[in-house]
Amino acid sequence: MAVTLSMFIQSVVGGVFTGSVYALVALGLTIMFGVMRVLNLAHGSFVMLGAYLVFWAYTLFHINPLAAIVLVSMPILFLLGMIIQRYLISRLFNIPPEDFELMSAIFCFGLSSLIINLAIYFWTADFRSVRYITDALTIGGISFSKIRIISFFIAILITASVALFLKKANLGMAIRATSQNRDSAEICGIPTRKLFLFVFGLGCALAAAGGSLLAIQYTIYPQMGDDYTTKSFCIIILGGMGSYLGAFAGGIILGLAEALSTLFIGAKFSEAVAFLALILILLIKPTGLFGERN
Amino acid sequence: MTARNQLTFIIALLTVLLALFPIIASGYGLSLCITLLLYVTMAASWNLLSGYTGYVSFGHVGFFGAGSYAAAIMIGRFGVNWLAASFFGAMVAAFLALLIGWPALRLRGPYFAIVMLGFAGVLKNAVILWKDVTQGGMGISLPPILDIKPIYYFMLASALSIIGLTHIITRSKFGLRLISIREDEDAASAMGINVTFYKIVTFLLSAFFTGLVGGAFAWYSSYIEPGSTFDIKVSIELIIMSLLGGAGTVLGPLIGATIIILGGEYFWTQFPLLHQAILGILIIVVVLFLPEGIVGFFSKDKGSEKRNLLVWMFKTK
Repeated sequence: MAVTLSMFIQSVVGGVFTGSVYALVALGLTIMFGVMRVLNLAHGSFVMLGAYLVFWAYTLFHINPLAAIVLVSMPILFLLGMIIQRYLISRLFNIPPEDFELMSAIFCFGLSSLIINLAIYFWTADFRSVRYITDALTIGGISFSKIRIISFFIAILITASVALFLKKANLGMAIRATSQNRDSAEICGIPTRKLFLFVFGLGCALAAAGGSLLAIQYTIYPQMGDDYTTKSFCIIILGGMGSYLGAFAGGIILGLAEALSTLFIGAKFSEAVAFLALILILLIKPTGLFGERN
Repeated sequence: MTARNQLTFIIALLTVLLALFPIIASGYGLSLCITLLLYVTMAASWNLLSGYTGYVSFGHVGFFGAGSYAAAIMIGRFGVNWLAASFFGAMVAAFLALLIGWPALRLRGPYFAIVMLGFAGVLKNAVILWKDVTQGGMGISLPPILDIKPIYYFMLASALSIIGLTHIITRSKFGLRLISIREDEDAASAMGINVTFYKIVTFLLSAFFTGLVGGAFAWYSSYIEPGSTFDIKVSIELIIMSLLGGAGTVLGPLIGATIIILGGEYFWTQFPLLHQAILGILIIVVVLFLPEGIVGFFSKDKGSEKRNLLVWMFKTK
C-alpha cells in the first residue's frame, strides 16, 4: 500500500498527539526519579486511577470531563501521592542510597499490584469510556478527532505550566536544586523530606492528568497503565534520567516513532519501538539524549 | 553439626521425602508439588544470577516463556519427546540470554532492571505477532497427559540440580568471583577477574534452568498462551520468593517459594478475587519489614553475613 502525503501528515500529527500524553506521564516519573531516586513502577496504576476518577466524576456526578481533570483527578491523586510518600515510601529511606533505587522498584511493584487488583475487584475489569465530544474536524481533506486536538492542547498547557513552575517558582527551584544535589540542597536549608511529599504528589498528579486525557480519548480498564509504566521508563532513559526537557522530547519522539513505524512497517512492530529505542540509546549514549554525566 | 553438614543433611532428607512423595500423594497434592518445584527452580535460578552477582533481572519470565514456547512447538509440530523438547527449550532460553546479556550486562543497577523488564514484554509481543509459528494469541494446545509422575520427578531433579549447583558455586572460586562482582565490580575487574565472562556464564545457567522447567511446564499444562506464559507478575514473584527466603543464600529461594506457593494456595481458595492484591501487600511488607529475608534474619550472628543481604544484592558500584 502506497503511503500518501495526507496519510503521512495524519500519522505525524497523530504521533505528536499521542506523544504529548506520553510526555506528560513521563514528566511526572522523571521528577520523582530525579528528586527522590524512586523507580516508580506504580506510575501506570496512578495513570489508571486518574482515568477512572474522570470517568466516575462524569458518570456519577455529570462533571464536565475537561473540568474534572483539574478539579477532581489531579487534586485527588496529588493527595494520594502525598499520603503514600508520607506513610509508605518514607520508610524506605533507611535503606542505603546505593540500594534504594531497586528496593523502591520492587516496593512500587507491590503497590501497583495492590492498586490494580483492588480496581479490578471494585470496578470490574470491563472496558469503559467517557463519551464526551465525538465528532471530527476536517482540514484540507484530513480529518482529526476534536477530542484529540483538545487533549493535545491540555497536555501541552499542563506540561508548560509545570515547566514554568520548575523554572521560575521558588518551590520549583528547590525541586531542581534537590534533584541536582540533595546534600547541598539540605545545607542551603531546603527541607528535603517535606519537599518529597510535594514531589511525589506532583508526580502522581501528572500521571493522573495523563490518565484523564486517555479516558476522554480511548477506552479505559484497570490494567491500562501497565504499558505506560514501561513506556515512561523507556522515555526517561531515552531523554536522560531526571531531565525534564528529555522527558518531553522523549515522549514526543516515541509517539512519532510509533506512529511512523505503524505507517511504514505495520502495527506489529510499533509495540517494540520503545524497547528498541531503549536498547539503542543505552548502547550509544547511556546518559540519554539530554542527560548529564554525574 | 556444622552449618555445612546441616545443609547437606536437610537436602538429603528433603530429597528422600520428595522422591517417595508420589507413592502417597493424591493427584491434587502432586500437582501442587509440581507447581511448587517449578517455582523453586525458577526462584533459585533467579537467585543464582541476581542474588550472587547483584544484577537484578525483572525479565526472568521471558526465559520461562521462551522455553515453554520452544518446547511446545517442538512437541506439537515435530512430535519430539517432551524431555528432549524441554532441553531444547532450555537451549533456546540460554541462546536468548546470550543475545540480550551481551548488551544488557554492561548496564548496571536500574538500567539493567528496566532493560530486562522490556525484554520480557518484547518477547510476549513477538509471540503474539509471529502467528505462523506460535499461533499468536490463540495459544498452543498439546495432547493432555495422563501420568504426571514423570513431570514431578523432572521438576524435582531440576530443583535439586539448581540448588546443588548454587551450593557448589558458593563454595568455589567461581562463586567468590560472582560475589566480588556484586560487592564492587570495578575492583573485581581491576583484580584481574574477567567480569564479563562470569556474568554471562551465570546469566546463561540461570536462563537455562528457567527455560528447562518452562518446557516441562508446557507439556504438563497441555495449553499455553502468551498472556499467562509471559506474565510479568511471575518475574516479580520470583524476586519476592528469593527476598522473603533470603537472596544470595542457597536455601533462601526454596524457603521463600514454599511459603508463597503454599500461602498463595490458601489465599486463592479463601479470597479468589483478592489474592493478587494480597500478594501486593506481601511485597510491601517484605520490603519494609524483612529486607534481609528469613535465612538472613536467622544467620545474623555469622560475621560477614551480619550485613543486610539486600545491601549485597543491590550493590551497583
